[in-house]
Amino acid sequence: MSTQHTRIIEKTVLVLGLIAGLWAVVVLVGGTPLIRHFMVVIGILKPLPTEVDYYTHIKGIEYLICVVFFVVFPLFFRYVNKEKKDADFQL
Amino acid sequence: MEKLTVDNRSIPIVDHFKPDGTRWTLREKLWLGLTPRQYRQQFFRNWVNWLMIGIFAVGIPLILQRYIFGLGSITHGSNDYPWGLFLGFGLFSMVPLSASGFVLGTTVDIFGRKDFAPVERLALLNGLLGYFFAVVYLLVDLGLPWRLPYPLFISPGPAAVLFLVGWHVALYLSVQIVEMIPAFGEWSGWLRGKRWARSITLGLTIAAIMLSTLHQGALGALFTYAPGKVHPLWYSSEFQWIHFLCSSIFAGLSMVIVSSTLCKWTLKWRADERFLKSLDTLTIGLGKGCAFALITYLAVKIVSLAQDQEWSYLLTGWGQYYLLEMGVGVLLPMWLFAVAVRNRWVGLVRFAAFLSVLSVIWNRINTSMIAFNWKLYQEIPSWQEVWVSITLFALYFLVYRFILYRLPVLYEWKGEK
Repeated sequence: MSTQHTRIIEKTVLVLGLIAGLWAVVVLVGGTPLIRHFMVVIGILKPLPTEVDYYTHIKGIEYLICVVFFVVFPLFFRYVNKEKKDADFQL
Repeated sequence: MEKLTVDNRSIPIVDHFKPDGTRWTLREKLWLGLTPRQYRQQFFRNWVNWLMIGIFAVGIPLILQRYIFGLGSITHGSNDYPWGLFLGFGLFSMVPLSASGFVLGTTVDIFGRKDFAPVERLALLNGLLGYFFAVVYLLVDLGLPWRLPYPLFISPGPAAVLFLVGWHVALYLSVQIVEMIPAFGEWSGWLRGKRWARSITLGLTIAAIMLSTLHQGALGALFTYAPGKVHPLWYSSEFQWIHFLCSSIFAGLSMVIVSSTLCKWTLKWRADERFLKSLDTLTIGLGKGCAFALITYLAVKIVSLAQDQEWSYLLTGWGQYYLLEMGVGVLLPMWLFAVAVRNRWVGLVRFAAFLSVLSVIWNRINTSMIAFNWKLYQEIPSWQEVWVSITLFALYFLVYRFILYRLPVLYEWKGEK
């Protein structure tokens, strides 16, 4: 076999290998949940099935408590300030 | 004691002149216009004074014993539990209850709510005496009171939280003394002193806000010295200071409600119409402040639970005790204040304030004693320690009453001001 043929075969294997490698990277990183599943299994990622889980993940539960407080406090403020002005003092 | 009339001299004293036009001497003012014999008679007629005599009869020898034979002779303190009732109750509880001074000072002098002026001096006096007696408790605990300048001036440790607390308390105590000079100046006729103190009121109030908020927080920060010792539910490395600061707001306001209520019940003869007529409205206003401070405190407590991931502790026995404290000491008074303010039920506001004061004391004792060393044995103070704590509190009560009887705190001075 001539040297020229050998080079063609080498280049073909290289291109095929490159395609296979690219496919593997795409499969791992993007198109399938394989890498994600792997990271969940080893504990790097936590599953986030709901929106609450997502916000808990990005901000922490204390963030949600603060958001709740920003809603509850004005309501509480309005409740307390709605004094019955006509009522007399009662002991 | 209703308005007394003795030898045609009308008491209580409210100005510099007697009805016959002559001037009251300082000595006569101190005796409330009574002769020493009359003063003695009224003193022994009051059952509260007999109770005080009983407390002091046992308490003073115990304090002497502490100074002669050492702290260990009257307390159950040890290397495991270095902070007993003198600090758990005397320092950690008295300081938040004395936040009344800076809270009402801010309300009246900074926010311009002059309608709260009738209770402002009571709040300032409450703050001054609370801090002063917190220092007295500390000195009974530490001993060697003549060495007090050492940590402040001679051998300071500027990196220590205790150094910070010590300086804050010393400065704030000085500020509060100056804040009470107008009342003393009117009563004693020292008007130059009064004018000087009034001229720097705004600066004093701002200094009081800074010093008080800083050291209320710093008292909480003291517990970061013992991160593993305090139970995680009562400890938060990032939030401890704000727990102490936030709870001091409703503690101070509640204490004003409690002390003004006691004055209304027992010192009506010393209070004037301005104080008595406005008290119910002011109590409602103070109760409203307590409700808002309590809900903020509750939110901060829950956030700190989440931040430190302490949910699992709530399922333990300690957790149930913690939930009891939060339920009875925070949620219940918060709800009571809200309902009472909304319906203008002054009696309920007062009850909620009593509950709130007790809950702050409970929280501080929990943090410094009960949840402290939670993995070890439980500290139980000796009876002598309890008695000395009560004796110092009785002394606080007597000094408080002594000043209220005389200085224009519950009434406006009628003479030259």
